[in-house]
Amino acid sequence: MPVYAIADHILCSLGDGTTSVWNRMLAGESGVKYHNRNDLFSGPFWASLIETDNYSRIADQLNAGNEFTRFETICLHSIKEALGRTTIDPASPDTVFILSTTKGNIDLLEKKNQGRFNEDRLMLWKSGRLLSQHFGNTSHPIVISNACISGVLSVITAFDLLKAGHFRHAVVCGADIASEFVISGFQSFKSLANGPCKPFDASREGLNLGEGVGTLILSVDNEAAKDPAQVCVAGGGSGNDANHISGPSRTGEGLYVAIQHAMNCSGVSPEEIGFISAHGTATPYNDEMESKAFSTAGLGHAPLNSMKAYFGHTLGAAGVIETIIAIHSMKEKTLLRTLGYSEYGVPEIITILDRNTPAEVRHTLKTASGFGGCNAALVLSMCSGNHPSN
Amino acid sequence: MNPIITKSIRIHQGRVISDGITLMENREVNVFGEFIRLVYKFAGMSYPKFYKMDDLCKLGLVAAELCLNGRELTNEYGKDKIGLVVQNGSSTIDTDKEYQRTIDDRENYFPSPAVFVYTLPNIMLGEICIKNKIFGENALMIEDSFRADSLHRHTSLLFGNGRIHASLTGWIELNAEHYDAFLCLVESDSGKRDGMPFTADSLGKLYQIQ
Repeated sequence: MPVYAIADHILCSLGDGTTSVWNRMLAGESGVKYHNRNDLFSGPFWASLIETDNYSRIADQLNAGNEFTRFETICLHSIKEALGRTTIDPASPDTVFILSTTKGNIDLLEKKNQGRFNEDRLMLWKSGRLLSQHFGNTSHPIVISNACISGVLSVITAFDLLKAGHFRHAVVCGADIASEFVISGFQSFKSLANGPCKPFDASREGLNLGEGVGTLILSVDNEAAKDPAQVCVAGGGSGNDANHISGPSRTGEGLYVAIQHAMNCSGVSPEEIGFISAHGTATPYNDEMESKAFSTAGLGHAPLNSMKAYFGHTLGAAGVIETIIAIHSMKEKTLLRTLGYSEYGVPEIITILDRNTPAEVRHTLKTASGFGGCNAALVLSMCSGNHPSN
Repeated sequence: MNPIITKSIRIHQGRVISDGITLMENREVNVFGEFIRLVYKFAGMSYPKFYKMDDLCKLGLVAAELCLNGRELTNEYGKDKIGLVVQNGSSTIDTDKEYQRTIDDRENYFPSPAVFVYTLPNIMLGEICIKNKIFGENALMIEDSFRADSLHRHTSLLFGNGRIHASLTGWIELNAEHYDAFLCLVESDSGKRDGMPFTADSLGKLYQIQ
């Protein structure tokens, strides 16, 4: 029974709605900008933030009474928009809500926000419950907080649950907001680039943080889509480097394990992979590690991009937003170039997309890696001629 | 072949309990940091990195050590077929608050990467993987309380499609001085070992009796 990707929505610096974001990516636009926002950091920084006009418009519609936080508001908006492209009854016990986030309402810890909401709003389980209950859903929501692989892991979990028959539909929402907490933390790690990031490039020097939300709805019932799905999720898995909590493995072993799990689960072989949506944070060690894992896995031939220079590293949202863009790449038969990349800068031979490229891709690999040594990989396949999976 | 639970550990309220039997008890020490050092010593561990970790990681690491009890699972199942499926309630709230204090005041601003890195709950899984050379599946899920049904369901999905042959599955929670670790060693049933059938009911019972 295939698991269809039946609807989606993205809100990030590049706009509100997947089509708007996709069109601006196609035009080579970056949402990573220079900011001097004293409320977010003590000095200037480069990041990809949701535009104030977009946020205000959404908040006016959804949060006129200030009952929701910024994090909750963007999640509610995205889920509502994605559900609008389906005929799913979100209140049905056949539907499960999965929230992917690293820090949720972390800005509520700031002094200026104290007392505005009940303290339990800091709890991620509370966020999951608030979202699912808003849509009348009574199933127990799932909240995954597994650093930067949270999004990919959430899509894999949704796939596993649907495949095993626990639910018929899954609403996967991944989100993180920009906060002083996270910006100062990455700055203290000296992980932030002083300019737009350059994934896989010889002169890359770090990442850009991004704020955003993505919602992907999976279903075993393609009739639930207002526009029939063309892409299915075929399987995935995760792995750990068992090496270091804040640096990637030098060998790529954990990512290799995750890719093997994804290949075995989907029944797709490395030579059949026509596109890789990599993690590609543009930190020196991460991109180097990925090149090793892809090469070891026999994936050096597959055209690959990183989307981080378009909308930054959106943390808990990244795996969901980037999976959605990968799905659209397959549908639009266009692979996007790795914005920010110009000169080859990783040790192993991989095929970095340096221009937008027309391609009919049947199978795509989406990967992510994160703090704690975690890695995840997911295979997406065109629905027609879908591979049998176990 | 259904998996079985071959060992369980619970650490809470000043006690360490394994499969219903109290292994260690100390009610005099009220501070978690002191108590967990006693458990670390009780477990016979010699692992200097322990002292660098935040409290949540210390709790998870020691629980994993006691649950594995010297078993080298990687030799039995392969290092990439052992997984960690862990629920937690408060994410890393203690360390989040500690980190927030370092950035609250611009005149006294000292964000530290050594603290910031522990503001992700899955770092605890990373520490367990590093110590025990586990390369397999990781999943960290946030729940309002220990939930046997979803813990069982998620672990079963991973066993069901062959991504794991063994796992450490449980609930590891820390919020201020409230701590609670419950970990089970779940393994494919080869017939060589005794254990309880791996069901939500078994998980619930093991958690309750301890």
